[in-house]
Amino acid sequence: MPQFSLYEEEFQPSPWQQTWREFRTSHAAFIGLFILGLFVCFALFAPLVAPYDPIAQNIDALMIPPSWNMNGTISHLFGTDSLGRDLFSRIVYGCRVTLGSSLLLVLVALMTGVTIGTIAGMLRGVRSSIVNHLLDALMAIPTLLIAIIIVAILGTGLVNSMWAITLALTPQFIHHTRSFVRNEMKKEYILASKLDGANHWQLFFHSILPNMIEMLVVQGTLALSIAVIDISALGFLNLGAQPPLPELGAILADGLDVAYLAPWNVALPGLAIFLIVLSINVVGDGLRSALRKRLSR
Amino acid sequence: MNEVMRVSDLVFEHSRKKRWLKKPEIFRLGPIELSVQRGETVAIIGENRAGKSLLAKMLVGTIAADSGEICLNSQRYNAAQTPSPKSHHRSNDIRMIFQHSSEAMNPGITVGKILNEPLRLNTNLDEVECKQLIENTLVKVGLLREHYFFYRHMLSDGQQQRVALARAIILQPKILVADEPFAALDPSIRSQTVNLILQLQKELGLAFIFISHNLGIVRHLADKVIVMENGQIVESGKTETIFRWPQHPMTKKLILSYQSLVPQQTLR
Repeated sequence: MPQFSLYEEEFQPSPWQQTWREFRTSHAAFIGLFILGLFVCFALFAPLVAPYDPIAQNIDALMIPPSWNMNGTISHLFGTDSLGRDLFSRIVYGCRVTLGSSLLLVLVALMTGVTIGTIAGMLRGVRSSIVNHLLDALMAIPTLLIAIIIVAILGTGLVNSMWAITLALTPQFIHHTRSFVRNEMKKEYILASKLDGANHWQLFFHSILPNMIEMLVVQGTLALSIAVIDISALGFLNLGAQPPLPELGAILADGLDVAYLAPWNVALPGLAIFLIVLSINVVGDGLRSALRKRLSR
Repeated sequence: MNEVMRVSDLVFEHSRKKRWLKKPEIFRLGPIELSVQRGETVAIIGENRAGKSLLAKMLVGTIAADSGEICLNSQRYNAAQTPSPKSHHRSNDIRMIFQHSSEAMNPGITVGKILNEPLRLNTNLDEVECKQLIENTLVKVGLLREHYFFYRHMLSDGQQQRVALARAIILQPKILVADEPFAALDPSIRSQTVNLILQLQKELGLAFIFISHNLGIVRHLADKVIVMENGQIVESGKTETIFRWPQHPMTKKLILSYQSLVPQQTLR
């Protein structure tokens, strides 16, 4: 018992502030966050950032090299493609399509996966197994192949390819969540909460979910980078987004026809995809170690 | 109404299915008769695998017994059912401190949230009142108000033990059940905790049931001792009686092993 009264600490950092403090100490992760933030800004504010309409063709300006080239003009920052469309605007809009749709589908896959996985983890015996292995057949085939099969059945298009990739990503979330929930349920603090009278719902939200964030971040970033690659791969193969839609993979495929005459049409969208995936992975890694350090220091 | 808890005919049977070339293992606990008065301290001693922890868990209701009855505060419970989450009175009246207090703390949430959980589930206090009560309880167990914002990894073992204690007493229970609460603590923290519990007992009129291997603490703390062997209560009675005139061979062994460390006293 303290015999004297002490002043209270005036400022207590919240969990998010602590995570941010740990995150900032890693420079690589910080640079990654900056790059990812740039792409997210492109995706959010594409109409404001892009100088031209991404679909508008300009016959007077075919295959203009990027601005840093001797023959380039500053009015077309990244040059133009074989139809005279401004490449910079197309890449900005391409970020919106590729990154935006990937984010959306990963969120959907994460929600369904965590829901089903939690139900499976809370259930016992055969019922748990059935729920757990509900979508396992999808894991036997590589993601891209499932996507191709689904696109073959439903027809090409961005939305169909998004459904396909969502379906392919969900089983991993189910399995990871289920094994995690299983493990946690055996621990004593869950027993203590049960003694307090918590039901399964409250147990999940107040006891298990705070511990699950690290796992969700790891799996979520992995899934996000897979989703970006798959969306652009399907676009590249002409199975996903259809040509007039500026999608990074589709832009890449368009540029491939004139790769010898205008190599920037291939290099720049490819670079954009590469940077998006790299920054997602770097940020995910930094976030994971920040979350882990928050709970160990 | 001095009796806060009465246990009658509590039986638990655990048997593994017989397998090929293997004898079936049968562990039988009880029948247990037990009665606890208000403000009384009961110690359970015995060797490992005697069923002490199991008994403690059955008393608080985490494990369902096979038959028997537990009377809490003149309210009867059928011990053969695990309590449904809705039986609030039970978690209000009887609370448990776990053997490993660090495992009994959720690593992902702050101490404040851990302590808030029983309040949220069992009382109708609003947020301000909850915070006030949590801070008062923290101070009561010898922590600071700032510990509200701390995570498990920031606390030492002794502080974790205090949080476990705070969590147990925050609902003002009638009975506290503790499974080796002092095992992992160093002597000074241990005596602090013991004194804390004695003080709380004086303040709240708490009945305290604890399991311990440390007979010194048992002798210091307990009014009544229960000796268990192989799932049976082999001897029970007043602490001094047990320590001076042990009857059962098991009790004699335990007391002798303790007294061989304290050579001043001899068995009469």
